[in-house]
Amino acid sequence: MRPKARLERLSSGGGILASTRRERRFAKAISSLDQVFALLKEFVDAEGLGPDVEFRLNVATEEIFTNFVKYNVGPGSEILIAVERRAHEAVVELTDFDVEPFSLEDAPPVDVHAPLEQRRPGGLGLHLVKSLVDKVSFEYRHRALKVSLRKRLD
Amino acid sequence: MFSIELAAGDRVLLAGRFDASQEEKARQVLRSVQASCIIDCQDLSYISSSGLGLLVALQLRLAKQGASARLVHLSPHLQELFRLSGLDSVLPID
Repeated sequence: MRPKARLERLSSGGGILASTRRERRFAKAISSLDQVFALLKEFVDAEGLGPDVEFRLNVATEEIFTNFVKYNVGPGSEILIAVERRAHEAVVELTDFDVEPFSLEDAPPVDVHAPLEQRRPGGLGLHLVKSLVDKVSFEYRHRALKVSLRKRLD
Repeated sequence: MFSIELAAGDRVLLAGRFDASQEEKARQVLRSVQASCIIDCQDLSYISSSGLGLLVALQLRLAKQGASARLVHLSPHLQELFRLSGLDSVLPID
């Protein structure tokens, strides 16, 4: 199934840039990851963003998607992912619908300098997300949790 | 496509995309590793926190037995992930 796409015209420094937004809904399951990666590859290829951006978006998106699947409580069965190039950044938005309030921002920080015997599972994914993209924002409205990932395009 | 297999010379061969959907498959194979080993990432193109967590768990288990794992042939992207997560200090990379 092809993603829904729409062309937008964005003002940028006096010029006009064309941007294609793609969005698709995925079953809220880990088994959807292959389809999620396919959407990201389609976006990266269409925008000519290159393997480094693709790698970063893949990891960051997977971490948020799997976090939604594992920890968000609620009857929602789909996750919406929208990808878009806005001026000089790539934006990925993941929205989980009909979920109880949950803030990824409350996750405890990971001590990346801890010795092996003190390493504990959990938290590493969000740490990677924050390290791999330039901005992560969270929004909870009308029982929907949206996480936006922004990667600057140099 | 992801694959994990045990090879001669106490080597664990990882290949393809090691994402969260492959966690159980990898866990089952890594469970059988009982001695020091080399984890060969020559054909591994991708890994996320679920895979990193399994490798840390393996290293923790081996350390209790006086053994250890080390990684070889990591791509620059994968090396960056290990560095960002601080795992390069607990999982030696050659």
